[in-house]
Amino acid sequence: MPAESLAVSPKAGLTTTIDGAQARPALKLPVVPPAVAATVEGALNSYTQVFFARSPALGLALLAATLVVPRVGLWGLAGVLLANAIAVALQMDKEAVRGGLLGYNALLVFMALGGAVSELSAGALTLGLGAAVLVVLTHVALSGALSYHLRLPALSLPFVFVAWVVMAVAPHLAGVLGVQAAAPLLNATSTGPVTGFLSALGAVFFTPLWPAGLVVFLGLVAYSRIAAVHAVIGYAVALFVESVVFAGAMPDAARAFIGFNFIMTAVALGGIFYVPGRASLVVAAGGAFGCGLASVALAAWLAPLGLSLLALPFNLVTLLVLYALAQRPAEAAPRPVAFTGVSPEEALHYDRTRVQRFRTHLPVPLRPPFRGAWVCTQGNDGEHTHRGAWRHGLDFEVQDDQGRRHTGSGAEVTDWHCYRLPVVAMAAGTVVKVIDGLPDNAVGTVDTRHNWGNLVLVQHAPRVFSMVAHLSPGSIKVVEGQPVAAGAALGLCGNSGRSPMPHLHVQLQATPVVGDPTIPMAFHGVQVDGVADVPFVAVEHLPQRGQTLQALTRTVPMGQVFDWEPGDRFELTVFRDLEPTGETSRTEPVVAEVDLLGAKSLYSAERDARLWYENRGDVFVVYDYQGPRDSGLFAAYCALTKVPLVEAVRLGWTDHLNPRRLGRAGLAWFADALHAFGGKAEQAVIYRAARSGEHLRVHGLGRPGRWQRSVATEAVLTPGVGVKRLTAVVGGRRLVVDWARAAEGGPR
Amino acid sequence: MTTHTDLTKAVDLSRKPKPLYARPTLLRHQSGLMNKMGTQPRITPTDAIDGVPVSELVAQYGSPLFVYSQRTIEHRYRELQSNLARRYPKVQPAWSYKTCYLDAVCRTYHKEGSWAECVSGMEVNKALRNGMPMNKVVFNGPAKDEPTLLAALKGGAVVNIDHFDELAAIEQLAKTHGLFPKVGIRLNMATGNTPRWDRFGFNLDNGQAWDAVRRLQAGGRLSLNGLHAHFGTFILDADNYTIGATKVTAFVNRLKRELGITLDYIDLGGGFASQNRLKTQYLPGDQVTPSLAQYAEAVTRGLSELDYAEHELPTLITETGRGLIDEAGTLVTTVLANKRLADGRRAVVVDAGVNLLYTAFWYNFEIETTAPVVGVPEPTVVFGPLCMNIDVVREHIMLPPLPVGTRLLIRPVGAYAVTQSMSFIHLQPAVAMIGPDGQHAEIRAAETLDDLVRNERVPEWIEAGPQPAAGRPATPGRPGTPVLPRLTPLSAADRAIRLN
Repeated sequence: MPAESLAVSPKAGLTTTIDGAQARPALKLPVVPPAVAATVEGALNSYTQVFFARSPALGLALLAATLVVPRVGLWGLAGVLLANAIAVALQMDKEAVRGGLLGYNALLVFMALGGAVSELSAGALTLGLGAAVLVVLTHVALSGALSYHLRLPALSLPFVFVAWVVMAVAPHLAGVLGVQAAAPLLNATSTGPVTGFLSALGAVFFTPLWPAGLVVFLGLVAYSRIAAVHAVIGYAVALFVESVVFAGAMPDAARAFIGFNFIMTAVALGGIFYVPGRASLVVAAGGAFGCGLASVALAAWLAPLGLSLLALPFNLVTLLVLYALAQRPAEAAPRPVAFTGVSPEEALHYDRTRVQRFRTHLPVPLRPPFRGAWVCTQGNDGEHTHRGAWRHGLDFEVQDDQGRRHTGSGAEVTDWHCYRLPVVAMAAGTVVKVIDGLPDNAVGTVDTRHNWGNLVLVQHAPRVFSMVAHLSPGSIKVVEGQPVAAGAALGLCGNSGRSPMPHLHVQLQATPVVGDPTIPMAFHGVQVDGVADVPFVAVEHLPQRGQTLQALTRTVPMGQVFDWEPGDRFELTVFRDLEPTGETSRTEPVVAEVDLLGAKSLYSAERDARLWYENRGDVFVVYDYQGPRDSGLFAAYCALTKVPLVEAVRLGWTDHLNPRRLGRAGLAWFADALHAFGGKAEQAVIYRAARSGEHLRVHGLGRPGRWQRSVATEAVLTPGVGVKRLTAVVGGRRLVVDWARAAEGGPR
Repeated sequence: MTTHTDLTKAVDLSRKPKPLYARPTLLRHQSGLMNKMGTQPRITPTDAIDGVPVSELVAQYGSPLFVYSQRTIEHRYRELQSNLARRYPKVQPAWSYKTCYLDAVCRTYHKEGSWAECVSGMEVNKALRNGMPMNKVVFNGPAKDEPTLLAALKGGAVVNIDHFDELAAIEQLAKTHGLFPKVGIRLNMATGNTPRWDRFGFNLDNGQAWDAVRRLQAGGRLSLNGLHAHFGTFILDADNYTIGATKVTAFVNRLKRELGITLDYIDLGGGFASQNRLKTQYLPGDQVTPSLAQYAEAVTRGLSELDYAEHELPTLITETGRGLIDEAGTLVTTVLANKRLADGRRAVVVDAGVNLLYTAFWYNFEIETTAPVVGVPEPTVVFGPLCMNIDVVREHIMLPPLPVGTRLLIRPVGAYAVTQSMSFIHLQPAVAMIGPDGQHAEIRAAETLDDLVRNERVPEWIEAGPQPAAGRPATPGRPGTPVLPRLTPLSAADRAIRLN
C-alpha cells in the first residue's frame, strides 16, 4: 500500500534528458514488445505493492500464493489486469500503473470478489466491471486528495470502501454469495503460533491457508528480512492482544480480521515509512497494539451499518501515526524514509549512509565566522571564560606560519594579527541584535561591565542564534532586522568588552537575549589543521584549542573538473580484471542528465547505471549510485564520493559508502535485520588528496570488516580540465576507467 | 665552469697580502653625540644565510653568487596568501615571472599554490614547462605574440587586453579559429601616486575603459570575464591600493548594473614594495614599507563594496613579485681592490656590478660583511668589476676598510636582479638555493663561454678570408650562388613581435 505522493523513489523517478528522451524501463525484456512488458510489470508490481514493494520477482511469488485457491487467485489476476487496462484507457499516469500503484487495490477487491462469486453470471461480471472502474477512480481520487492536502498515502482505503460497496450490492445479484461470504477469507483459520502466523499472512491475499502464507513469507524474506521480522512482530502483538489483553474474549467481528491488520501495520510503520531502527520498532509494535483496540472499537461501530472491518484498522492506525509524527517540529526518531517504494533494507542503508555522510546536529550547517585560517585559542569548557552556562563558547585568533599571534611586543591592539579582520555570518539568517560603540580595550585590560563588547546576534533558525563578540567599534556593517547571507561581512574583529587582547568570541544560543546560556555548536565542511597528519575536511567539527580552522574556498580550476552540465557526454574506457568474455576494455558512453526535481545524474545506457551527483560549490558530492558493479560509473561512486574543490598541497577526509552498493560481504544479507537495531555496515573510506604535477590524486582506502568489503580507490583529476582516470578495487575486483569528454557533436 | 673567470682567483687569497700603506682619514668631530663613536653605523657581520655558512656556499659555487632562501620565499608567500584570504573569500596569487623566472623559484611558488603571471611568449612557455596548465596562466603585457596568444585563448588562460589593437587582433584570431574566448581588459587610473601609470591598458578616468568594454561587446566574439589593474611599482603608500580598488569596484558594479556583465576575476596586479630602499627614499625599508598585511588590508578594503553575493564574488588575482621575493635573494660578492678617489673618498671594487645589479640604478642596497672588520667606517663608493664608468653599486655607504678578499652580502636582491643581469664583460655567476632544512643546491650553473657563444655565427665570407673561394663569384645574390650568411632564423615568436 504505497505512498506514491510522499517522495519520488530513485528507481521510479521520472528522468529525462534535456532533449526529452524518456528514462530507461525498470525491467528489461528485450524480446517482448514494450507494451507487453509494461503490462506484465504493472500486474506483478500490483501484487508486491501490497507490501509497498516494487519487485516483479516477489510479485511472481505472491501470484503463486494467491493461486493456492485458484478461484481467488484468478479473480485477483483478472482484476489487476482489468483495472490497469482501465487506468491506461483513462490516461492515468502510466508510470504509476507500471509500478503497480493503481492495481493493488483492485487485486484486493477482486480477490474478495473471487471468494464470493459462485458462478460467472451476468450479474457477477457486471459487478466485477463496475468494481474495477470504481476502485481505479476511488484510488486516484483518494490518493490525490490525501497526498495533496495531508501528504498521506491512500494505503488500502480504496479497497475497504469499494469492498463495502461490492458487499452491499452482491447479495442482490445472481451468482454472488452473501456479504459475509468473503469475510472468512480474511480470517486466519489455523490457531497454532506458526501456522496461525502463516495463515494470517496468507489472509493478506485472501488465502488464509498456511501453505499460501509460507510462500508469501518466503517471498517476503527474499525481498526484505526487516519486513519479515516486522510481520512476525505484528503477529506476536496480535496474539498478545487477543490472549492477554482481551483474555481470549475478543469480539468475533474484531478477531476475524485480527492477523493481517497487525502484520500490515507493523510492516508499514517498522520499515516502510520509517527508517528501521529501535524507535521504529517501538512505533511498529505500538501501532500493532493500537490495531487491537481499534479493531474492537471499529467493529462495534460498524456492526449496526452491516459493514465488516476488512483492512480499516490498519489504514486508520497507520495514517494516524504518520500524520501525527509528521507534525514534530524537528527531525527525530523514528526518521521518515527519504524514498518510499524501496525495501526497508535499502531505506536503512541509504539513511544510515546519508546520516554518516552529512549529519548535522543543528538545523543549519555553520561555516566558520571568519575568512581564511584562524586558530582556536579557547575551546568549550575553556580555562578562561567558557564555563558554566557559557561553556559552549569558542575563541579564535590569527596565527602566522611561525606560530606568532602578533607582531612586535603585542602591546598595541594593532600588533595583533586578527585585529580588524572581517567577521562573517556563519549561516544565512536575520540580524536580531547589534551592540556597537564600546571602545577597544588597551591590551591587558578588560571591560567587565560590558562582557561581550560590540556584538552581532543573528538568528539562523528557530531557537538557533549565533553571536560574534568583542568586535571593533564602528566596524559593524549590519543593522537589526537585516537579512544576511552565509559568509556576509558583519564587522571587524576587535578588543571590546571582556577581552584582554584582540580575539573573536563566538557562541550559539537558543534565545535572542545577550548573556543567555550557550548551546552546543560545531562547524560543518571545514578544513581543520593540527589534528591529523594532514589537514582534513570534517563533516562536523567542534574545534579544540590549538586547532586551525578554515572554510573551504573553491578554486576555479577545481570547480571546472566537475563542471558537468545536463547534456554533456563523456566516454569512459573501462578496463576490468576477470572479464569473462576475455575483452580487456570497452567503451561506455555516459550522458549528464537532470530530472524534474533538479537532481543531476550521469547515466550509462549501456550498463543501465546512474550516478547522482551535485557540485555544491565548495565540494563535489556523489549522492548515490544504482547499477551493476562493472559500470565505469561504479568506479566514480567509490572514487569520487566527495571531493573538496580546493587544491591543497595535501588534504584528507573521510566518507562512507553504502554497503548495498558495494555488493554483499558474506553474511551481510542476513545481517540487515540486525543492523536496523545495532551494528554498523557502512563502509568508512579515508581519502587523501595530494597534488602531483598538474594533477590532483585522491586515494581512498576502506578496510574490510565483518560487514564491509575492502575498498581502495584512486582518482586522478586535472584541475581546470576534468577527471582523467579512476581506479576502484572493491572486494578484490579491479575497475580502471579512463574518463574523457566525448567529442563534440552530440546534442547539447 | 671551465671558462668562467672567477675574479677572486686572480688574487691569490692564500698569500697574506703585505699590509699596504693607507693614508689616514680625518673625520670631522660632530658635537651632540654620545661619544666619539657617535652614531657611526655599526656593521654587524652576517656569516651565514639560513644557517648555511657563506664560506661553504662560495667554496662550492664560486663568487659572485646569487643565493635564494626557499624558507623566505615560502614564508612570504604564505603571509601574503593568508592575509588576503582572511579578508577576501576568493584569492589567487599569480607569480610574476619576470621578477625571477628561475625554474626552481617558480616551482616553489607553484607548489605553494601560485599561478603564473607571464608577459611574453617565452614566459608562458616557461610556465607550461614548469607544469602550469594554461588555465593557471595569467597572460599580460603590451606585446603578446600571436602563437602564444592563440594557445592561451584555446587553453583558457587569463588574458588581459592591453590596447585596442590587441583587442582587434584577438577578435581576428578568434574569428579565424572559431573561438569565443573570455578575456579581461587592463585598466589604468590615477590613484594618487606619481608618476601616473597610464601607459598600460585603458584609462578608467576618461572613459576609455568603458569604451573598450562596449567595443569588446560590439565585436560579438569576445566576452569580458575579468579586469586587470596595476597601479604602479614599489608603491609605498598602501592607500593607493584602496583608491584604485575602490575605483575598480565602482567600475565592476557599473558593468553589472548597466551591461549585466558579471566577472570571474579582478586582477589587481602587483607593485608591493620590498624592504629595499629607493635612491629617492629617505627612511629605510623596514620603517616605511607597509607590511603584506597592510597591503592586503588596503586592497581588500577597496573591494568591500562589490555588488556581488558572497559566493559569486570574482576571484581576486594578485601578481606580486618584488614584495614576495626580494628579501629571499642575496648576492655574495668579494672585494677585489681598494682605492682612494681624487676627492678623498674611499672606493672599493667588488666582483659584482651593474651587470648583475641593474637594479642598482634605483636602489641603495644594504651591504654587509660576513666577518668582523676592524677600522673606522667612512664614506665609500662601491664599484663593480666592469670597465665602465656607470658601474657603481653604491655611490655612498659608510664602510670600514675592507681587505681584498672580504666577502660581502648585498641584499635584498631577490627581485629582478637575476632576470635582468647580463653577460656583459663578465659571464653570469651561479645561483644557489637553500632549502628549508639547510640543504642547498645550484639552481643555475655559472655561465660558460660556450653558453655565451652558442648562438653566434660567423659568416662564411669572414671565415674564408679576403679572397673569394675558387668557383664562387665575388658578387653575392646571383642565381646558384649560396653565399647568403647563415643567420639564426627568427622564431615564430620573434617574427610576430617584429611584425607588430
